[in-house]
Amino acid sequence: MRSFSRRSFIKLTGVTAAAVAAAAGTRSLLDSSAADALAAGRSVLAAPALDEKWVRTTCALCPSGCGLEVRVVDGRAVKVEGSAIHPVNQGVCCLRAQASLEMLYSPERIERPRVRNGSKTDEAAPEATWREVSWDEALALVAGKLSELRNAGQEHTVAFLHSDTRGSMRATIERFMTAYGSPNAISMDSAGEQAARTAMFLSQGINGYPVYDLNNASYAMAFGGNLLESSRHVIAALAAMAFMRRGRPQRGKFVAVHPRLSLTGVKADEWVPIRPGTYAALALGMANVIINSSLYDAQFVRDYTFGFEDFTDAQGVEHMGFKRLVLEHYPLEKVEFITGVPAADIARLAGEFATNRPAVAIMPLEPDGLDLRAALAVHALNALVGSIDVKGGVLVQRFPDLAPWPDDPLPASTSGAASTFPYQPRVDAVDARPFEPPSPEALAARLASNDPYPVNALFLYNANPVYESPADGKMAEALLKIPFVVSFASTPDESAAHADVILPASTFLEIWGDDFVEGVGYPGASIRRPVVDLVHDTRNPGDVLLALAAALGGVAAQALPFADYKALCEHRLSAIDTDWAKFDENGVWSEMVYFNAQPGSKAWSNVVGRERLNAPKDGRFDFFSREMLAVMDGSQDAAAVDLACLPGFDAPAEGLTTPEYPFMLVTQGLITQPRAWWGIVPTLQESYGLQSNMKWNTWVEISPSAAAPLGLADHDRVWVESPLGRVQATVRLYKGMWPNAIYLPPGQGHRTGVSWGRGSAAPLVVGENVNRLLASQGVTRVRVYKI
Amino acid sequence: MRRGFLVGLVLIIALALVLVASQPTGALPEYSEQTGEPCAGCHISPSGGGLRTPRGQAWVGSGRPGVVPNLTDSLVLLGVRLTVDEADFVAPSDGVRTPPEAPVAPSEPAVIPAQAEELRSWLRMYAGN
Repeated sequence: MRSFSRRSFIKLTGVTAAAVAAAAGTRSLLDSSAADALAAGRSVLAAPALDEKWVRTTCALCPSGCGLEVRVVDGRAVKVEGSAIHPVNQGVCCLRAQASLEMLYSPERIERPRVRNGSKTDEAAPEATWREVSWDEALALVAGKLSELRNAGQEHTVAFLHSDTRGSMRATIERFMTAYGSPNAISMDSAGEQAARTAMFLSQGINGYPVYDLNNASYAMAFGGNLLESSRHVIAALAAMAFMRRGRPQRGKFVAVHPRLSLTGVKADEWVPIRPGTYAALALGMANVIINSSLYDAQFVRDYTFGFEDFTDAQGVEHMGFKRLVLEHYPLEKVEFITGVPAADIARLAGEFATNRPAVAIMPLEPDGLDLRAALAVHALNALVGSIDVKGGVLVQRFPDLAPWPDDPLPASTSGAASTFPYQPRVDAVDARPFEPPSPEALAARLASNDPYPVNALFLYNANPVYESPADGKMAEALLKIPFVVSFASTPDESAAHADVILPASTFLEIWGDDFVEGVGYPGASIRRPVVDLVHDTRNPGDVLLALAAALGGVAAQALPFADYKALCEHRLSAIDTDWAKFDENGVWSEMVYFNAQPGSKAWSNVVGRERLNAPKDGRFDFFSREMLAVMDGSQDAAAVDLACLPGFDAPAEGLTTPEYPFMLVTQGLITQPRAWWGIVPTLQESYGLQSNMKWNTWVEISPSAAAPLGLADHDRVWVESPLGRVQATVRLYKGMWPNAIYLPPGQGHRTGVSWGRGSAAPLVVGENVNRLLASQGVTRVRVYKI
Repeated sequence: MRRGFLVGLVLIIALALVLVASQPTGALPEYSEQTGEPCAGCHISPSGGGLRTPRGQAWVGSGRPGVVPNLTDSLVLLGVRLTVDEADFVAPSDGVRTPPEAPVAPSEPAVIPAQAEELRSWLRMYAGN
């Protein structure tokens, strides 16, 4: 090691002191010069003053709906920050919102309406060619087609497929379709989240997403999902998690249960590795311990739940209750065998959960085909410890009261079966199991086979079913069969490639709209407004629907009599009793306080049973779902009925893995990809695989113990193959992976047809589309082998 | 030796410039000193940082003035209006729960497609986003 002499030390010290003094003097000089210049009314800078402003708006890149402040300089948005006065994010701004300017100014954006040249079924020209048209021409074309179908009595053959919507957009779509005469407004929201919502309905009688009060919980246990990266209320969860574990005098404990040590698991106090798809068994095993040990909230269970004990129905038929179910069917040894979680750990977790109240169990988020039953089992834990609408428990999100639609020409129900038109069945996979979320795969099969009738026109909004479907060829085939497909894509995507007309949507930074505060429990609404002028000749899809309704005339025009979507939102929000000048200035209104309803209070009926259709609204949480019982096929025997109405773990008949496909596929969202496709976003791509250090490619996480017998080393290129297809990936050996499961990241492998990102000369495809492998029912089994 | 000295010199000068030129950070004690409020005046956590109280949100939202507005003014600044009656959330003290009714189990196939679709349509539509 080189010596450092006394002389050198003295020299350096002297130079440092001189540097500090010089820097301080320079700054002082600059400050005084600036002050002098300002005092004299002169500009500090030689350049002319810039036109700078900060505009408050609302993000639309995930369901958190955070408040944003965007710095706009000379008409160009240059920086995004979180709004300090939005109750959800309170000044925080996630990576997605920071990168939203790259979406706004992306070279991938579709700049004006497009109409396909020729036929999309022309085998001689498989790649679409387009001609750009004016909005007038495009809207006339679409309105003309809708009029033609309506005049032919075929209005029900028009479908509108959408995923995430914000604010009034969901109601606008439903209303447009109902007024036009079609029952086919088809929501393709996240399947995992839909399972949690359906579980809330079947057990608690609430048609809404659960809100977990982590701020006040002493103990929180997340069953699956990547709560801190890709959950519905991710920003609220991040803030609450930090507060729960570091911000208050009495620290709470957070437990993450998942086959993969995700970012959520890394941040948790304890990670519980588990065999994929077995959350229901673990939850019921914990319930077994809690009931056996009499650690449950006996008074709440007796007075405010139904189906805990065995009961006899009105016809005298005896039914099994939840207690007997878990005591007989879910002993610890069996649950250990199913889940792979040691019995001692299950007992300890159950004890911790039941004795550290308020405790909250978080339902699974990612779709694995077994999610509804798992969500019911996990939510039953919340009822066992009385964590229904208490501080630190499961809350019910309240929404603002909205103004009724003006001069309503439609029946009160907004459902598809409007009495104005003859009843027609829907084209999505509705059958005798109404509580299962629709799957893209099932929808593709029905569209391709004209079941129950041919679809003559299809709208796609925030939906890319070709990308999202397993074995994407089926959905592509289905879209090719539909004569008229209209896409609202903002950037090219796999489904828009099969469209006949593209009506490009403006980004959320260019449009007016509204948004409902979610994830905090209390009601609130925020305003989305243009922060810059339109960058391209695009439009707000809400405005497009209003223009189409006006062009169609009749009931459609009467149902949506607004000059533009801004006027529609203003009308809907006008029922909120607030200071409108303040609302406009802040960009957000909320109540800021969540009142927990005491069991038996007047408000209790709003948190348990409010939306039941066939079950009694008696303020009782259903361990045994009376709502499910009401729609059961009476031809089944009593035992089968009981098992269908109670939570449970359904083991796949063929086992979780097979010799041919020895791994189970796990995938969970990351914070680095927006929910809907917004094109390649370089900043997000540069931070894509935070844990794996993989950015512009797909990787597969595999346990070293599983990789060794296969001769796989870190960074090997492999095929990952399921019965539906195969994708390439780079091996990352990861000890935080369940031994016979592998992880693939979602959200990659889009085909845009645009040269972009890292100076690529050819159209860039980043990584692989994991959806091509996913089974729509049950676990997805895969095998891994070297390329 | 000489090369090492030069590298060290450059690093130290750079560090000195950074230290001197940097603006004051958003340190919480400084805000407390500026406003005369304890950390818990603006933050839910008594030690400061993280989630803010309505007063803290209003203070930040109004540009960090010298005084933190009181709760009433904060709620006005934030446009907060309650739409609920707090009394509705309190259970009557003499509330006695009656046992649940026995549910009616279906005696024949209860689901016809139209009913299922109606239910499904209704479930898809809800008051939120």
